[in-house]
Amino acid sequence: MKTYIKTIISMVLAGMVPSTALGLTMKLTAASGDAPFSEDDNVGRFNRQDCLDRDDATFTFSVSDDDRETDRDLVIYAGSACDSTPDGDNCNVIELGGAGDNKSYTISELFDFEFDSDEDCTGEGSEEVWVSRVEDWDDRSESTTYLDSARITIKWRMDAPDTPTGIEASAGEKKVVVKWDTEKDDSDENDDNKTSSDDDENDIDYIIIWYREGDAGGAGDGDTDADSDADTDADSDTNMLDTDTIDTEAGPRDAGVMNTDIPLEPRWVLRSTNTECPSGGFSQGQTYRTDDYHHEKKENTAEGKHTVDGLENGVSYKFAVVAEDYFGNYSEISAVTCATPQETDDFFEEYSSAGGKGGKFCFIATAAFGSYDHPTVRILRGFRDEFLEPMPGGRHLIHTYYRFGPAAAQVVEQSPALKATLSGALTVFAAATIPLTLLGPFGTLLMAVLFTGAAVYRKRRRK
Amino acid sequence: MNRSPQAGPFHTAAMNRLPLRGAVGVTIFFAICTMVIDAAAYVPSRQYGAFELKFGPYRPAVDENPSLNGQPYHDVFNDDTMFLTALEVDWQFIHPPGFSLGLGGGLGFMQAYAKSLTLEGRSDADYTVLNVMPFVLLLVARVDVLPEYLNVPIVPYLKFGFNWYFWWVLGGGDVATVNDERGRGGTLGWQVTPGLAFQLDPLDRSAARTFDNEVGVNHSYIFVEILWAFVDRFGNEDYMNLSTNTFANATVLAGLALEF
Repeated sequence: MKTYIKTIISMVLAGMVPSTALGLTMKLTAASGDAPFSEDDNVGRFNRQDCLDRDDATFTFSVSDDDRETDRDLVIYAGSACDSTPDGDNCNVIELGGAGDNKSYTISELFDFEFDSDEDCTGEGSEEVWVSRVEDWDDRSESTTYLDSARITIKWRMDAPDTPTGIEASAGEKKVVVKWDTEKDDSDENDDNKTSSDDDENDIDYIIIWYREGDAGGAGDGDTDADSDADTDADSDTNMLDTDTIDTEAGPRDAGVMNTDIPLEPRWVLRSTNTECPSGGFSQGQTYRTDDYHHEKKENTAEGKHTVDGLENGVSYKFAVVAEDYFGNYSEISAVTCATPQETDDFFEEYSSAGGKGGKFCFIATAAFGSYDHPTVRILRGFRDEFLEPMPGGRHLIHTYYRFGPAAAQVVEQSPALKATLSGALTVFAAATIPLTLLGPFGTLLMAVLFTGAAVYRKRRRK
Repeated sequence: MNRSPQAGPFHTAAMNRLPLRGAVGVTIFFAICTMVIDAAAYVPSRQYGAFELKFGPYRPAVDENPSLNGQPYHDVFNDDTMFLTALEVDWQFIHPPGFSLGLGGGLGFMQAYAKSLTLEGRSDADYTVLNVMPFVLLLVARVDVLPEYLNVPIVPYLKFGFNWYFWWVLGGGDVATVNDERGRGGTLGWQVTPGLAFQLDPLDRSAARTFDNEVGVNHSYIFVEILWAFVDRFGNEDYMNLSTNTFANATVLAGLALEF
């Protein structure tokens, strides 16, 4: 049985426009938590799936108590031919009079538009709904002043964006970099008539989806490790029809909305290991469903590149990209590409494995400042390495510190008061060590001699 | 001696070319006057120090450390030469005529970048970076005799001092770590830098004087210097060797200097 949900969007007319005595501003708010329309700046939008999933949508107008004037007529009119007056051709006057308190209208009442219709749920378009006041509607003329006009625009786009092309995947350590071709519309930059809203509506987001070798059917929650490992162990090297992950109730965009228009295809999952490219999960040309597969979104990017982190080395992953337009329409799943994350060596690993020495650890300072990377901790490490260590007895002092430091650090960590006191004292101390660290013990001695010499020279010269 | 009737006791035959000599003399006279007037109008501001911005190649001698049992810099960065950008400020605390002695401090930055190593070769997704930030403290001696007394716009100088090179390694976008040890550290060393600075003031003296009067810049230079940097904590093998190894343990830096 088909379930329809009517979503109510309230347009609250409030006296907020300063240019008129009774300024009306439409604020579009969702009446329930499952608003199908994205809305901003009094613009409501819907996409093909919204159109197919619902039989209609309802608007509710209301006027705030302060702005109700019964001696004036409230005019509600709609249509793309309307402007701030309702006299244009094809401008549909919906209602007159009344205080405008919670009046409801459906889109099919306002416009010649039908939801759940293959004919209407295509292409793109927009309509406007206006609300104005007039002194007396019956006595109106060309010179009639329409007070407090406010407008809301309804836009729709039904066509799916182009499917991304040029998909590539490069493996790194516990990650894969996915690349694809992007086509930014440069013509927008040269078109002065375009508004920022128009620009936004041409934005394309990209959703990077991936399937891990051994995953259950590819339906994912973003957890790439524990769950999928268990699946691999249990069902290794078997073919199975995974029906558990097919949500027959969930719609593509809104949880709890039944969606019977999406074809539910059985997904055969080949569980295997040691394959270069896992055969399960999604494939090119399939319809994308938002809650399926591991996915991450890259918003409005000119750079067709995204790094998927947190993967497991030595395990094969399949990747694809889906485009999503501003209205929430999805492209088909792109061509797939595969990669296997692998261990890599950075320079420090190479240097260390060749016997090179690196840094050491400041226990107490790290406990006091909460981070090994805190600037003060860095300064103190420099002081330890560059000044203290070369000093006579310096190594012994550092050795003693490392013997008792961890225990002291534990005490510091457990006492906020001690932490605060110690961090203040160490900051002052660290500042004092900077010149000593930069100069080192020999440099400090040399500088002391030089400064003394310069002072003596100047004094003699003055005499 | 054959003298003309109008000739005085010091008149010679050569003086018969009086019109030409007169013109030359008048020109020289006015030139000198102009210079005197000009010089009188220009009062150089007091000179306190110098500012330098310099650039040059720098290949660190990481692999020269005898304690290493491999060539990590060669393996990872293929012996790439870094590009050093450095700033230096000198305080000229002694400035007798024709000479200055100053105390200088500076810092710089250079970086080596490469794709991380894998068993098969290089990763296309991971990169590793060695960042080096040198801090220096210098004694700077400049010989200003040539431009001040002989109108030769060349200033030789010599710098000597200590340096501390702070380094850190990035792997996968973050500071690299091996066995809880962070990939960063610092190495103390010393350096000596002879150089030649070419004074730019003679190219447009008027502009140079205006620069001094309005901004306080006494002289402008372009310079070339040879940097010998020995950054190995005086031979301590427990520290990364970041000595210069670009051209036979030296490198050449060039830049712009302003004395103010």
